[in-house]
Amino acid sequence: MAMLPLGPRTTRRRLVERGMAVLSAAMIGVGGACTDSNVPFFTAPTAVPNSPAGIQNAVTGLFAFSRNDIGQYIQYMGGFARDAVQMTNGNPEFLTWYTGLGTIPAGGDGVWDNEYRDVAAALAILTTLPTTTPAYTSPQAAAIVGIAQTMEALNLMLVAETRDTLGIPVHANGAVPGPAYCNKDVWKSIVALLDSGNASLNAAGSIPLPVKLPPGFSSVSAAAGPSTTPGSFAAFNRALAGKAGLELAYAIARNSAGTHPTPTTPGSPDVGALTRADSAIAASALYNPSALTPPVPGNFPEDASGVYWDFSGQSGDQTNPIDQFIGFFTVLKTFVADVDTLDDLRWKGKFGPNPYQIELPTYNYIASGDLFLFYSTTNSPISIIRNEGLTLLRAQIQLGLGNLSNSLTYLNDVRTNVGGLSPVTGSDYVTVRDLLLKEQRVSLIFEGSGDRTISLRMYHLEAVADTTWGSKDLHTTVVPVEAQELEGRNGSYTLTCQ
Amino acid sequence: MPLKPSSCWYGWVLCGSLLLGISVRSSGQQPDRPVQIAAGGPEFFGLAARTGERVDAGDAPVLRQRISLDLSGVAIADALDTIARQALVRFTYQPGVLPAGARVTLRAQSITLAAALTEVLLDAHVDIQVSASGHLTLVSHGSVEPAKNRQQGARVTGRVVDADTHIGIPSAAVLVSGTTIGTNTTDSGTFVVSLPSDAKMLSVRRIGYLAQTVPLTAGKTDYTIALQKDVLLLEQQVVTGVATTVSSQNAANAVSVVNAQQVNQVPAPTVENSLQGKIPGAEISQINGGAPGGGMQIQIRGVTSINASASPLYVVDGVMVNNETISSGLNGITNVGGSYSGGLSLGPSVQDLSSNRIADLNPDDIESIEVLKGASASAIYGSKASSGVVIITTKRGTAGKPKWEISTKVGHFSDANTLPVRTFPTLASAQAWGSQTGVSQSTIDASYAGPQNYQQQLFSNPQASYEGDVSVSGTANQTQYFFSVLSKYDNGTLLNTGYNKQSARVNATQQFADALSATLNMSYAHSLTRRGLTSNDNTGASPYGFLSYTPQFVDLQHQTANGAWRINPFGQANPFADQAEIQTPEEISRFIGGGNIDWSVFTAEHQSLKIKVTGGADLTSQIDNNYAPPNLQFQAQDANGLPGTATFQSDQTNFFNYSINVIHTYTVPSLIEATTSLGFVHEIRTNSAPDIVAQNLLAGVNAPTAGTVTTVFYNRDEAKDQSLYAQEQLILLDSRLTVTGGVTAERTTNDGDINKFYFYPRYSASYRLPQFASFIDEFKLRAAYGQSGTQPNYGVKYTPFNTELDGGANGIAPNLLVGNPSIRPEAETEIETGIDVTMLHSRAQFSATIYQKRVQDLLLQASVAPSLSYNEAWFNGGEFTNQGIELSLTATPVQLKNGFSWIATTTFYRNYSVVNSIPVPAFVTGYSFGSDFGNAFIQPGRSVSELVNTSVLGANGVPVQLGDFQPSYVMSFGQDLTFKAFRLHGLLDWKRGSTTINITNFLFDFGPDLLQNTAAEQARAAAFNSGDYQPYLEPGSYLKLRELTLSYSLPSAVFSRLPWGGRFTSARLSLTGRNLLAWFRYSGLDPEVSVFGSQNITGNQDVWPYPPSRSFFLSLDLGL
Repeated sequence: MAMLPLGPRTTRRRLVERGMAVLSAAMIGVGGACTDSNVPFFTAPTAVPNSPAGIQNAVTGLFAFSRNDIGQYIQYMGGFARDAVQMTNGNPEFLTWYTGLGTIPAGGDGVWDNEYRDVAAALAILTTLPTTTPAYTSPQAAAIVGIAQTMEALNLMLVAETRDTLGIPVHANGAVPGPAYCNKDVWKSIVALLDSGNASLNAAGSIPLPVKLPPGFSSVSAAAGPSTTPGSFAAFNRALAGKAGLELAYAIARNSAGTHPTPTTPGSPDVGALTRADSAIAASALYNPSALTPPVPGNFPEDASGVYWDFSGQSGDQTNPIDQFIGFFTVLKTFVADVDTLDDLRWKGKFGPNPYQIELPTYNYIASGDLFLFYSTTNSPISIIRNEGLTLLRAQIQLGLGNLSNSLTYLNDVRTNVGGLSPVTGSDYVTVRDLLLKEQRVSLIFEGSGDRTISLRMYHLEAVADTTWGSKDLHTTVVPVEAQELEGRNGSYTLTCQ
Repeated sequence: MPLKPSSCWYGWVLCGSLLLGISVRSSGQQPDRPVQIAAGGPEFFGLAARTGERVDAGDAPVLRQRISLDLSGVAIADALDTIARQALVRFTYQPGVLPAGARVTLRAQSITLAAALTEVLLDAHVDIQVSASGHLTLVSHGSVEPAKNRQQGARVTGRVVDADTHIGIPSAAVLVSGTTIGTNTTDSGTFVVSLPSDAKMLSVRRIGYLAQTVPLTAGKTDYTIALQKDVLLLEQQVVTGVATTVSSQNAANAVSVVNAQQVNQVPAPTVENSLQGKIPGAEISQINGGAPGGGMQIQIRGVTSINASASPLYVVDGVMVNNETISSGLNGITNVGGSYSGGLSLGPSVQDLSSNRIADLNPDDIESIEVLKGASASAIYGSKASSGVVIITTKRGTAGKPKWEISTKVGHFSDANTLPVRTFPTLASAQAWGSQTGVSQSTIDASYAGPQNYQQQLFSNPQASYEGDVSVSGTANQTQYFFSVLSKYDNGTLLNTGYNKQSARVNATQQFADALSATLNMSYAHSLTRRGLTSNDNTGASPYGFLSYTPQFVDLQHQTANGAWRINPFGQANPFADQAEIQTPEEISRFIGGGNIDWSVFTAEHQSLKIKVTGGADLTSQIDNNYAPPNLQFQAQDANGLPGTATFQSDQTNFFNYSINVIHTYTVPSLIEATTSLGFVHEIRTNSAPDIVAQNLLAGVNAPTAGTVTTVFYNRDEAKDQSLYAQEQLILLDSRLTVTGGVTAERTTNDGDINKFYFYPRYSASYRLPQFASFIDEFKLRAAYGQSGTQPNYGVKYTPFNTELDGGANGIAPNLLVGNPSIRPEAETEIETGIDVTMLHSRAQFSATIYQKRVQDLLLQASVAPSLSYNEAWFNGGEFTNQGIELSLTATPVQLKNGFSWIATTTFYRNYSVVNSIPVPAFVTGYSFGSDFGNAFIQPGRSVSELVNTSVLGANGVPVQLGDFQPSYVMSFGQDLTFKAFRLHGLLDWKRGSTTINITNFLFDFGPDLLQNTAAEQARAAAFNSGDYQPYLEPGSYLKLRELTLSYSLPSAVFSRLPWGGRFTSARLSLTGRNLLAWFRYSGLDPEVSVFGSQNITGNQDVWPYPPSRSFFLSLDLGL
């Protein structure tokens, strides 16, 4: 402040004036010295309580958030399989990307980041578990470990199935990105993770689960193990292990060191992996050929024969992500050609005529006049894995082992008991394989397991199946590795393959 | 008194310059030979600034210019007019100074102005005072003498009048030069001032007039002072701190001030519309197309942040106010928030076509708007200032009796553009289309109802728009007051859309004592906006979405007797039903109240100490209630079986802030004017926004409780800022040198460390060169340096867990975006330098500014490999730089005696940005529709706003730049023509070079060939499918006629005959238009578009927008 003489005035007034000036400066100084209190984050927690309640919240979150990408997973895998596809003027790329008529952008938020987040969430539960107060008993802790590892494996399976031979990282940690593994090593890791989880669940034994699981897991919520006991979580673990083992067997065969299947030859899927996969499914209480029944139009019943992602319209919950677009999921002509639309109960239970004008008429030539209508409400559950699919997986495993007859038996179990159709016969690999693919197609469309697309790759049919869509037919069956993953690795994405 | 031809009249001016070591050059001409002066000629003199004494001005450059005259027996006044036109000078003189009836004859070729005046004014007994800027004032001979030995406390009286009309000017500031002593003129322009013993001059200022300095003459106690209108707005007060200002003549930064007349040239939906084309350095864009209720973005000097808020800070009468954009929740109906995975997000979205809240201000209440463009000017506002500060001052009370202003406007908004959509004049043409696109002939035959024009039918809202403003201002019992009310309605072009607003304002200043006054400013605004459903949506209900799949031959306006709408057989929506039945009311209630107490702790002859306490509150309530009834086609066909949607959002945004400021001024005439200020500022901002989305509604019930599925969203945030500042402002060397330095220390609860102060210094200087050429009145050099910041958004320092229900239980999971507990503000450093030149005797002003703005410590959401379990993390790092140039030229090319004048204004702005470094790999940022259409991409060495397709890599393996969201340059051209009572104003706004992403075309192209040019559609689609990434990237350049006004001031003889006309003092009739014409190569409706609303980088994306509008208004403005 400029300090200059104040001019003639009384001493008293001068003192008052200076006093006011000092007071003002003091007010400013006091104001500056008073710190505002911190502002918390108002609408969500920023830490996990180190208690059983905290673990329960984290477990519920792990299951809830593992649903996040299931709608996208189903659209990718259903489109790659050329079963049905969203045909909307508002988003024509949904058709071109998912069917392979256009290139999927690398930047698309594919099934990737949410899954790795869920892997980390599972790991966080394992990290917090030993410090929880009050402490869990050893069996209870083992049960939670088994649950967390199984869910970790499930999330990795979703990523691996959408990337196939591109390979994926299998460890989430907080420092630097882990190596990306080739497909067979990915599946080895997943199978090992499931086996580890199963061991923990078996170590826990038949105790009631110490955490509550969502309703879609009610068929596996009664106990930790063993897997053969109906209601045990280990039954779910083994069902996943059977699917993963099958994928491992073919990943080994499709590896450069293996013998590749061709459109006309079976190749050499790894027998050991297939055998273990078959045993895993057989050991799962979810597998029960005698319980195969036709679908009830409108919804999956959340019964003892399957495990489901469940949804609801309750505030804060997720609604069925396929139901939202169900009026746009036009069934493709190639799909209809594989189905007995007159008699198959699966067709009758899940499909119906499209009452609306097809959008994107440019693509009328691939669209049938029918819609997939099975998920009738926002609450409709979506299957993760269930008896019908497990039976067809066993058929696939038997086909891989060269047991055509056994394969036919399993696929006919489904065909007759679920589809209400007469059994079929076949005497050679190609015939049985194609019969299997048809059953798989109509049985498992738009479920959370991506079976037909996985099968097309296994049998090396992605380049020949349903490729009558013109010269520009990429028939992609792989989602690119997310661009951000590449950017985060400075563009380098080299596979590690042991 | 004979002149001394060899004397250097401007020696007094040179003194200061020499002290600074600045050389002053002559005009470049050879010195004229001494003027031969007749004995009775005028004396040319100037006034020494330090002493007020007369000094010889006979050799002033302005007097050396040459003219030719052919005068024969003309009155002296007319002779002076002729000379003024030739020499481009203006003469000021009081009535009676010139001898009555005297006439002159003079024929001369190429004589100097001095010689001409000497001849014309021979024996007229007048002298001519030459000001430093070349103004010529005629005074009675010998009337100006240095004041000496005036008695302390002597009083002078006088009157300040308009030089043209001689009408008294109220509220002009009359100050004894070099002191703090002064007063304001009364309603009739009179004043009384007590003079100190050494008073030598009076300085008079009034907004809208050129300031004038008048020498005091011994023995003279009554003065009439005529002020010239400041037609080029050369002199304005510019904010330099929280509580300090300086004259624009001394300002050290590029000054952009828009006054009330400029704001209200043409009725505008919001204040920001009024600023388009008027602020060099600012890109002002509409983001909601022509939707009623506004929606604008101001970006000053380029991108200033990648991730943090980039909106300028708005300060209204000293109160920091809310310019938030609160999404309306329309996404609950349009479902655009969901990802393509099918995950449905019904909460508020950036694609909700929402408006920023500065729209709530009434433009008619505004006295002036000043824009501080960067840190060098706005550092005093700390970490809220890096994107600029918009300082709005509302109107004050005026001295004297009440003055009423009444304004009524009637007009209409109409569609400014349409897309070339295919028509089907005959059934055969429709059938041909059907056969091409696979639509059955039966469907065609059943639906064909003759050619339709859906665009015209949907966007031809016939409603009129209107506006009524009434204001009164005056003074009563030491209280100056301003009171206004507004009621307006803007029709939307889309059926059943519009913007209804009412507001009221009271500004009052109470003078409690000589040393104490208080000002209270209060405004309340209420608005109801209905924007309808347009822009991006995933239901097919958006009108241009509907046009992309529905051929124009179905009579969809048809309703049955029971009110049922026709079903669109070609898609999922009937937009006529939608626009009729969908409700999108957004109701705003906003109170802004503030005030300040000014206490002059003491005022001495040369110094004063003031305490100014300013504070206020801005309380905004926004209620959105969107409703789509279940009977609508797109709701009834809702595949998830939940027809009918109602959303209810109640947002409360409150700002509170106050400051305590101490200002000391010290003035020594001709030596120094020192202003020292320091203060403390505290601000609290809170927001709370619960949003309920109800689906599966009971028929006919618009309420969240009427749905079977209800989803709740909730946002809440709060921030508290504290800052201390100190600033010193020095005006030296006869007001030629201005030096300012200051520093602000600020902390905020948004920072990781809430106790840590961050410092923002600023320094600036300007120097007004003495006149060195006859055509230059003033040449100012200026330079400024400053630092400011951008504080982190609320919550950035936290990593909240996501919560989600499953089976009725709430679960938590880590967020994919990890917070940073050490987060700190971005740091912006700006250097600007420039010149301001006033030329041709105030008939032209040119300003040029170059700046460099470096933004460091960026608030980055660093992308990481998502396999790490999270995909982004907040951190500080990296930097980018903006460099730019701003030019403006305002001139009066023609100003004739018959009253015709032409004022032309041109502005130019260019900004160039480059990313200097980032501590992470290059990354995509902002909103987009996928890399196929282009992403904003941050990579070193490239523009911060570049647009790339991450799949298109160059030889070096990095994405190739396909465009840029920022323009190459922005220009504007304003023209004002005045002839007697008529005035014509026009403003052209030109943006060149930005890229716009035309998703609308993409969506048409993949539909059933419904654009007229189907070949182009198919070619684009084919190219896109084959990997061509550019068919939907288009140049976003445009040239728009923003404003056009023709006004006529009715003569009193006319309006006084009207009923009540005798009560009126003025009446003006205006015909105005906004956005009447636009020229661009863009194939969409308008390249000025942003589906994602206000964006730091990724605007310019076009998805089925609300189409642009043009407006016409007829206005009648009355004064009484």
